Amino acid sequence: MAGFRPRHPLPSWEWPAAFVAHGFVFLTVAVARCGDDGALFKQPEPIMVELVAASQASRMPQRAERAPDVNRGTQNPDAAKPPPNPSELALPTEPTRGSQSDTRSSLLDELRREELLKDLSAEVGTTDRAASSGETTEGAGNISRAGVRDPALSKWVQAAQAIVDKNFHPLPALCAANRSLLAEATVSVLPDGTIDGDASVSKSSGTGTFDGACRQAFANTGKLPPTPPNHPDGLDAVLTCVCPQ
Amino acid sequence: MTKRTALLLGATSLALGTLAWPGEAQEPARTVVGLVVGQGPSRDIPIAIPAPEGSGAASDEYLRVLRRDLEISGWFKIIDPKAYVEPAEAGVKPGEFDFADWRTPGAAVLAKTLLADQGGNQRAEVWVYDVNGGTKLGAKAFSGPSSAARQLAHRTADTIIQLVTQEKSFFDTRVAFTGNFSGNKEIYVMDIDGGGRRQITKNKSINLKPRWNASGSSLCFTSYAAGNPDLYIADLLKSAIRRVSARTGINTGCSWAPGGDTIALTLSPGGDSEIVTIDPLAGTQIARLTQNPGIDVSPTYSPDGSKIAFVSERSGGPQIYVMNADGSGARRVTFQGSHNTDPSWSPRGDKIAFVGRDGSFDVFTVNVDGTGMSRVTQGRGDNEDPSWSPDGNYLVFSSTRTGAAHVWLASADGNHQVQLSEGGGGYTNPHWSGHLSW
Repeated sequence: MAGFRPRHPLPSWEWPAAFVAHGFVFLTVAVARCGDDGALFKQPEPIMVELVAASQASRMPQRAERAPDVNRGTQNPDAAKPPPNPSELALPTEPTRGSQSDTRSSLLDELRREELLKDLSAEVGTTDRAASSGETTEGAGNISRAGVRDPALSKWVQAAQAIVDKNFHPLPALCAANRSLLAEATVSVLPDGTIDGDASVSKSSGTGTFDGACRQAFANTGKLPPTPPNHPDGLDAVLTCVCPQ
Repeated sequence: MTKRTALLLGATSLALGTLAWPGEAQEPARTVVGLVVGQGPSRDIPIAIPAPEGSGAASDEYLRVLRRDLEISGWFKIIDPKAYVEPAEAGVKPGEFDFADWRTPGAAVLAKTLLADQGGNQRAEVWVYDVNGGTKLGAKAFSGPSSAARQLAHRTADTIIQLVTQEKSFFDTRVAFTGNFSGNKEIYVMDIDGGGRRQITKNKSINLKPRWNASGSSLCFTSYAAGNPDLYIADLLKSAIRRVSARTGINTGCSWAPGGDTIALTLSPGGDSEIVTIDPLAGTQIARLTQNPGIDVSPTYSPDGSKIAFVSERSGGPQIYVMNADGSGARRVTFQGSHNTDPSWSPRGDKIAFVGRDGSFDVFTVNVDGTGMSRVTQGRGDNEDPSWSPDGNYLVFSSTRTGAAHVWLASADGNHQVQLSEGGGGYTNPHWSGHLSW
């Protein structure tokens, strides 16, 4: 065991020195790790939100109560102007037409909408829809004659409908609040497919926003396919706009 | 002819698609055709987003993130700014601009923004308009630190989507994922648009399958940092990672119970993988939920915490099963295909997304009762690890359709799909958080 050297005990001053030295190294490593792996996420300051103007108040769910109009119908035109009404921040809407509020009218619209959708799902060009239409009681003779199949026109209608449909963009929020919205817009189509002039709303949904989307569907379309040869004078088109399902 | 008759005939003409207008007999007949629109989904709404009013270095990033968010949502089609005709002096608020300028390029929605420095903070203001109706939908303002342009853009996008669709958006959420960017598989978190990436683990090992808890404050994941696949929890707000389960065998596939007081995971005490629940604080086992000779893995809680979907081979190949949260009442959910894995329970509670093998791996959804199986992806690379958005309308998943693995988003019906992650790939195991306040 010549190579074995007995271990000398450390002098007493080395113990505290070793303790301090190890502590220093430990702290250094700990601080370095804090700057590296320690901080997983520096939590960002929160984003503050403030309401600048109320969201659309009409026909939207979760809307705030509309404050009553102050001084409406006052007999004194010199009376002081009312304070700003909170509802002025909300979306102004067109006055609702009397017929829209009529339950019967709404039901008829809904029935008609369903009928239109049913008709759309029918096979094009193979069914004499006039004969099966429930609305042909009066003047059925006229309709039967008028509904004689015209494959070229049916094809044109399908193509035109597909084009206009891509340009119809009602606000989803409107339709979420009222699925039975229905508006009609009318235009003349020239033989080369050009839409002649601006579309006019022939039946209002009672909501300017929806009517505008219906009218704009034609405006954004620009041009439709040329009308079939057997309609050399062009066509009138009535666009019925309903909410996407 | 009475007025009512004329109206009826007119209405019928629309249904017919073609009809001579019942006018006076002596006038030449002009054909009237009826078109009906509104049949398709109301997506791709044309929106104009002019650059924010006010200058600042952050406005470019703000606008870029905002436009990207709206594209990702699938609701909008951004109109090319080159088509804008509005004069430069037009303002942001009602009356300060002309709606006709925005009808010309075909915008249905207009979002005008202001971005300004305010005492060292950024303040963003958004005004949203319905162009067709010529009306304001609403406006909101946000403020945050000067570095928060990205977060301000996300809040702006959420506001626009909320005002236009009345649906809560998801740009206040994040996606956790496994990223292989440096030869190691580490856990990362990113914003929904793929930006704002932050690294969570830095142990130069293999870290897999991160899963958010309901509040978004913690992630559980499996890591080989200590050699064995152990379960760890990263507390994101306290910047701390701790190991909670280091039992012999695998400790993997964690899922938080909605209350956050329980984690279901897969252990393999006797070599066979089984599903157990543990206490996420103490790491102690609460219950063993499965006892079968085949594998039982990948538990995922239902949103109410009463049930767990999981993968089992008890009937041969891997299939999706559902059991009560106490392990009772297990029943098979998927019957089509021989290899179905990675279940993810919709926050709505009605559907389970999973991965089926049909040559490649694809994402499917199925009703919880096993009916209504529907495909989300098809024939485009391997699509794996589906995870639902908080509203259950979208899914994120990893896909190799462009070569390298990236995180993709799809609407639940699969119609709208968009790549979220950027760069060269290496993104797997995405998991979508709930709505976050940070």
